[in-house]
Amino acid sequence: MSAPTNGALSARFAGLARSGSLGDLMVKFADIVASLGCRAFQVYLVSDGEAILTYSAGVTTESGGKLDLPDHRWFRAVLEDRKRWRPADALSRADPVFREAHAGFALVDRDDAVQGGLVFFEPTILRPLDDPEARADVLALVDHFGLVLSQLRRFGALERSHSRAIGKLAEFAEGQSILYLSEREEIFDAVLARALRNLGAISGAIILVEDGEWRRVWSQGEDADELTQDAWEHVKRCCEIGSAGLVNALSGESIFNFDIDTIHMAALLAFPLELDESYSGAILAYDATVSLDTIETVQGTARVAATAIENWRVRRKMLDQQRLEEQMSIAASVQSRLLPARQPDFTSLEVAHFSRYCDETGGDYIDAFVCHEASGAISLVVGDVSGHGLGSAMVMVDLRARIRTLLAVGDPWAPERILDHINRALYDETDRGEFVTLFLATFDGRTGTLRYASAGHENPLLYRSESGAVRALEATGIPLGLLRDAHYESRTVVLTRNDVFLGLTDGVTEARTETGELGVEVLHQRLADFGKASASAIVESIVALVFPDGDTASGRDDVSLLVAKPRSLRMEMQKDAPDLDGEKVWSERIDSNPEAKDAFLDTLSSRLEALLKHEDAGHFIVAAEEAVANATEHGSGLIPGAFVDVEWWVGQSAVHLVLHDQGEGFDLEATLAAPFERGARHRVRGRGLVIMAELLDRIVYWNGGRSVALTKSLPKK
Amino acid sequence: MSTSNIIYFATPGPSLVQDDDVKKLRSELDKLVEKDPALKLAIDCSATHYVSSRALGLLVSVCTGIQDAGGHVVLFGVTPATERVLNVTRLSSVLDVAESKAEAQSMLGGR
Repeated sequence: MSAPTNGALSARFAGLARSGSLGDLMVKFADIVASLGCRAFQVYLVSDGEAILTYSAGVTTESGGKLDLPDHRWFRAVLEDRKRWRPADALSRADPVFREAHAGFALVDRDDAVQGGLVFFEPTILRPLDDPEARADVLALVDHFGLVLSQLRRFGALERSHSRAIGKLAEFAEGQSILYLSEREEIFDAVLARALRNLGAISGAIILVEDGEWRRVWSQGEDADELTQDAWEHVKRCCEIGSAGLVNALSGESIFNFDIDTIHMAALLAFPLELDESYSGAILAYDATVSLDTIETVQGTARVAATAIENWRVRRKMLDQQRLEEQMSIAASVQSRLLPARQPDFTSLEVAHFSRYCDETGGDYIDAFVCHEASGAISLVVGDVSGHGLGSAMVMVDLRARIRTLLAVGDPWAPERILDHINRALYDETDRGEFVTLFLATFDGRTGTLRYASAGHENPLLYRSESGAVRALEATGIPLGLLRDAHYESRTVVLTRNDVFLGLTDGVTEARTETGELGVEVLHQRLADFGKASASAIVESIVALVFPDGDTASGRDDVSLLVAKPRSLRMEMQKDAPDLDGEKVWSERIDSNPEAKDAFLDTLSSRLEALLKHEDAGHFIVAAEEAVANATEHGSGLIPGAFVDVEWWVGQSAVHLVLHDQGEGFDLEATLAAPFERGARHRVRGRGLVIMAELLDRIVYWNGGRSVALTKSLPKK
Repeated sequence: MSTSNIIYFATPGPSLVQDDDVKKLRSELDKLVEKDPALKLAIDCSATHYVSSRALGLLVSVCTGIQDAGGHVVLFGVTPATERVLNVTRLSSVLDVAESKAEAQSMLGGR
């Protein structure tokens, strides 16, 4: 015979063997079946070759009254085959508690002969019946029951306490309906009402231990409004002992063992509820007169109550978990829509990125988008909200909205003012628990200028394609939201084609490796080695450093990185002369002074009118003026004898003005990076350069800056 | 704040690019500033379509001078081409630019 896997169950099985009669056995068996969660069952005993229904208890959800064996042939097969489960072809509802239609067993006696059969109707066992442990428990019970049954029959001890048993079974049947209540309050109400009715009492309560505290969760009757100290003590004592107990109304004595013949007048009665393998609750009643019979009945109710409460707890936990999972998955999908497209596509900038949250949602933020349509300026943002998970994600989403709005309505070339604004807003609006770092940069695809500011964020790295050197882009500023008057400054760096910008969050530098944290040095080296590759290849190679075994699901922090690589820019300095389409139509040498410059511009103007639209011609003249002025004033110099050579090229799709001066050349990047907003001098060179970059289609410097080609596309025919 | 009337000045058209034009602009503005260094000046730019960095530089230095002396300068009627150049040189944040003559008047607080 198989033994039950559960020790507590095993103790109850032993009780079966102590049954004095068949009726007694049935009552004990019914109790155990109820505690396993079964709704109803029938016992058939074989007599003269026929299986006769001998005991029936409980109701099904459908029949509402009589139990009906749906398929007699199946049952015969059960008896002949000795044991069979009916497949779960019946109910499959959304309720997480599993149900089967019914399960049938043969009952064998000591000589291994079939003496009868047992049918469980809708056995609502909390664990599915294909769980080997649940199965084993049920089989053990059935076997044991069969053995005791055969013993009792052998001694002919039938019928003696039949009537008592019938009464108990009726109670059992009605009590089972409690198992199907789904609301906590309904369960309490039904349990208490039933218990008090059976006891003939009017006041009582249900007590449960919740969050480590004893609480009265339900009550009926005035006396139970406020439980006395004695009542609490009695309840706790019964739970300690694990047995029902009463306080005698006359003597005040506590009694835990009951005589079959004695009637007791009880001031207090408590029936412990066995929950989660400990007695952590009870049904309490005031003022009842009881016998052993009554006590046993209510003990049955207590067992059903315990099962119903445990069912409810498990069900609620499963529903809560399900709800939480649904909400997390919605949050995750919202957040993933806010990340930049897989490969954002900008004309002047190649961008690739990687972002992975260690939970469904996270606090990292990377973004790359056009913040100013007219100029095509691109914003690059990398941010990190402290912590990870849903709370950080919500701060991040809010931050993203603020940044995008401020860049759209404010000045994208003053990132320090944007940081300032956000800092004050975060300081005023949030609990100062958040710690937000942010790096904000605006890239001008015409000149390669990158204007940036940082609020305590991990320094991005910059790889220079010409020298192969890697350096950090440092900027001062403390994290956002900490100090209302925090000061932020912007810096400027000018990128050239194929340089690499790498923005990251600390999930990258603090990634765990065999030798400790990944650190910054390793990234410097990686950029130096991979700098010439495409932006996506660079991203992949760094992701490989953070997740060496390719498992991006591991890790304790969010990891994000952004790589941007300028494509060819409108204004560039080259080593060699550019290839110009078309032919040199004329050239001349002009003296390096303002009058000659102006005269030349007049001539140029009339030539341009023939080729370009009026407005474009006007713009070209403005740009040409800047270039020629640069060449004369800064280049050759305004000295007698100095000159500037001018060439005019006309091609299929564009026209070019080429200038050569005799000066010492200049540093294009330094000139573009120098701030020119407030230059009080009349001619600030940087200003002139950006005007040229705005009005022309291409400007190429070479020969150290002494030569320049200004290009304007011809209108399409 | 000066309670004097607003002085109106119109920049020439169509272009303020060549040195000659810039020189002329400078001498005219200098004359105005001589009369009243802290004047309220509204500059009508509607005739000008093309402007060089030198011309802008001049405007900036004149405006700064007037502001430092306690006056106020507002540009209005700025054409789209000029606006483009003002934006790209970041001077739109340094010079006061009004959408219309009326707005310029109210910005200068007078008639």
